[in-house]
Amino acid sequence: MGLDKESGGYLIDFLPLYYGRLFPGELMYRWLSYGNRDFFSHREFSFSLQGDVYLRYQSFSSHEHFVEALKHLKPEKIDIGAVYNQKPRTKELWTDLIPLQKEFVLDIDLTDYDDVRSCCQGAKVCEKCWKFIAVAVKIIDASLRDDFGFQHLLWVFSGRRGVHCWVCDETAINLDSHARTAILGYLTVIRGGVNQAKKVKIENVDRLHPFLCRSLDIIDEKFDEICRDDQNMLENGDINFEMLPVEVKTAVRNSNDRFNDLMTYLHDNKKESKTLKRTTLCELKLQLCFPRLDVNVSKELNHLLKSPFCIHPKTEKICVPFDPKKAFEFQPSQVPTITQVLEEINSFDNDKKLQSKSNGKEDESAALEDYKKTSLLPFIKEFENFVKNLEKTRTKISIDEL
Amino acid sequence: MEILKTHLNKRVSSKKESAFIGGRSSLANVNLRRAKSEVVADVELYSTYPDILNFYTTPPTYSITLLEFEQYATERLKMLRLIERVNLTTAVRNNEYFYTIMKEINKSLDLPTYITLLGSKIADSKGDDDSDDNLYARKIDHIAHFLLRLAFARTDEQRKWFMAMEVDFFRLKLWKLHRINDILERHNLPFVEAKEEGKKFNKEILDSSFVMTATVPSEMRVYKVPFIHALDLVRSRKVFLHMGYAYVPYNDVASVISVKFRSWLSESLSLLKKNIHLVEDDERLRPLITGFEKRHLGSDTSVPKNGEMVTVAQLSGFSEKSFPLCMKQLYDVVLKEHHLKHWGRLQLGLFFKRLGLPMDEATKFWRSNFTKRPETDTSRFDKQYLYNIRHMYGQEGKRADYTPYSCMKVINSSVGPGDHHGCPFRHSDATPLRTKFVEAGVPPEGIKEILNLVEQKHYQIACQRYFEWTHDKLTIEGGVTHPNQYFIESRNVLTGKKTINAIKEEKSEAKRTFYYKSQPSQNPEELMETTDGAESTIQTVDAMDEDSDAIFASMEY
Repeated sequence: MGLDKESGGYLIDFLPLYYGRLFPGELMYRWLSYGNRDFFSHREFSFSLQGDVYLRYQSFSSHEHFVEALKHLKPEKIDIGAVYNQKPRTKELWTDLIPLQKEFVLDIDLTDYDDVRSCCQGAKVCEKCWKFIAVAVKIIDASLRDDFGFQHLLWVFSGRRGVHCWVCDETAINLDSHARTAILGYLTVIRGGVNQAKKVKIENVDRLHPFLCRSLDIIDEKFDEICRDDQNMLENGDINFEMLPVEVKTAVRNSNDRFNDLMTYLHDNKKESKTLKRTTLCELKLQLCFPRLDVNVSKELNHLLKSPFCIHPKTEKICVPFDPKKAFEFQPSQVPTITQVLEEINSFDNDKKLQSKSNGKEDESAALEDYKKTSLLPFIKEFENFVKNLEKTRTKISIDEL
Repeated sequence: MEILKTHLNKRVSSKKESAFIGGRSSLANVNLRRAKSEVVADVELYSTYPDILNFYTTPPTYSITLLEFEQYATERLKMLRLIERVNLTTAVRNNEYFYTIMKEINKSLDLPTYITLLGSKIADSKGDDDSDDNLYARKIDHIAHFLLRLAFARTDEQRKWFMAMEVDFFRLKLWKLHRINDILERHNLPFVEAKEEGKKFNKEILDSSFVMTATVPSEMRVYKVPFIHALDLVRSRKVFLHMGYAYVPYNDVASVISVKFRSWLSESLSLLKKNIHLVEDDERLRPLITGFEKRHLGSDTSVPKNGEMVTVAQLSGFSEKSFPLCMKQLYDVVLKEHHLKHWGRLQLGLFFKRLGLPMDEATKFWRSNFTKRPETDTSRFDKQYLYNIRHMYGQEGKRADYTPYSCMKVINSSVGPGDHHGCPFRHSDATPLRTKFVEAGVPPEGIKEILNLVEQKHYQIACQRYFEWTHDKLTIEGGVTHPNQYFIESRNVLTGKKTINAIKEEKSEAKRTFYYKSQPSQNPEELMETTDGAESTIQTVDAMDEDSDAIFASMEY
């Protein structure tokens, strides 16, 4: 598993190169240690190796140790777990291995949107349905910051069809499972399985929670574009049409331009049923576009989540962090693959060699960090900013406490 | 009983908030003047227990006899079991819920302390009962709580249960007291009144809150707490959040206090767990504490143990007639789509386990079906799903014996897009349900009856009717409470072992069912609907929130 048939298995040869030259081991260490060496050494990592070998309870005393293990074991996937009361590596020695802290993580995956996207299903993804993710990122990011007051959020592309969010504030890391479940409850709006057409219920459209108001504003910006233009929703055969109240369905059922007619009908304030219309419109927007979170990922402290800067085995893409404010500009198709970045290093070095031959100056390529020669550069910079901000806050707290 | 003092004296203190004084109150400013003019004979007791509320942060330091130990602990256990029984009937914590508990308490013959403690009138009385009897009851309440901690400290499951019941009991007291202001002052809770933000965010705060209506004046006090102190409100999104703080209107404060209580209790119990062996070493106490929770078991959870083994080959036949709809639905999806999401696998898998399907048969079932999908070959299956199956059967991880879901649990499940689990009577629209009924051979009048019940949110009665219509009018006595029970009853009917007829007459109908309306009541005098002399099956009520910790209806401000 994990070997792309076309690449014929040479991914395994590239991994040590990648881990040795491009993987930002030091930055990862600076992040995950939170200024405390012991914190890092008590952190659980797990590795998925070739041949379906899965190694849990890995832990490392330093970032060099960590990177050495990566080069040596060549994991196809790295997962990050919790910080435990003992070093996970020494698990056999203790009766109790208790997770103490972990980032609060969220996972948004396009497979949860299968009932609202017609362009793709399952593992497939394209720039149209990606917009759902962008909307979700904006909504969740705003809420985590403005409602919950979190500041250190790392948004990471998960390699194919989704994103992860790592919330790294001190409060977040110390949340217990009860608190994490509560936050998820706050962020969840869509409820209902395959047999329920209507998945959102608004009790009183005149008294919407500010979180919903803000989210609806975000959705409004892209609603027509996504639902009408891209996904052709609510046309014949779309089960989402079934969620509408009978009155509304009857009014537009036989129309040739169903979506637009529906919008006109729902926006029409002159006739009766104003409240029903407004409520329906809000419910519709939320059901089609509100974020769908994979709740299992977020609740427990001992859950392991894929690390940033892993390589996705099917797409070969690197799981890069991105700026949530630019969620709509982010394109999965533009994310560099491992092959691509290694080739970029080669061509950069070759060019520099030729240059220095021709103009007699020294070949500087050796001195330059490899990631700067590749498309990975902006993503590493993004990560670096994130880590620096974390470090800044820590310094500020210590100064305040003096 | 020095041993109580030594090993229980783990005070929970938090650095940033003022220490919370519960039992032993060091309230220098407490006013000994009270609402009533009754003379308080025992001034010392009154200063220790100024009201019935107790956060149990300080252990009692009295001496009691072993007999008293047993008596107090047993009585409190019965109290908690009572709460457990009422909890089975509803997930919402509104006025009706508390009235029900009070009614049950007052009806009971063996809860004298709690009858005294909580007063014998259901209608709310404004004043506190500060008589000697009540003060003494407060003292016993204090002691009994700590005694039960010893009995419920050992395992996770015990602690969870104990905590859940104690929290509900705490809320009951809050509800009874309903003068939040006094509580805030007396017990130094970490609230900061937020005058500016209260004005600035007035609309947002009102719009977010559950209890606020448009007619509440805007000079309602608003308190600011870090959001982690208001988790119940956060989870149901019934509070305004801004930059990490929850802005809680006065009336919602009760919920916040309860959460605080729970977190302190949780911490204490964790600490106690580490030292419980010291208490258990005492020979006088050991027989009292160990196995305590097994006594006075509450209502029969009707989880039958099916002794016979079942094989995969039998499943298909069973699913046709004997699986309840919730499980049949999942089973059919597995056969048709060769896949099921996590919660669906869990709901069905545990049902199978209790059915008598051994782990290797279960593995056969899941594997043979899931590998029909092109992208799932055997090794992929083993990698992704085998661990979970083994986990269900207690072969991995902490090797717990996971219990199959009861109807309550299934009905209250969280169901999202792409999911097939949950209770079909709750989690399906009428159209897919109707199709299933037609397929099962239910005649039109039956379909109508069942759909009617569904609309009124009587999911378990609907299921029972479905059973009756598919089992030749034979019924499940006492109603449907568990999918495995449904299965056993069905097998009994089909193998001729049981022949209980569904009695359709008016009288018996009334005798059998006893149900609640689900709307929270604003009127304190309004009680739930009952039928005469009823005391049999209690059906569930649809929780408006998926979450069981909803906040209560309005309280006086």
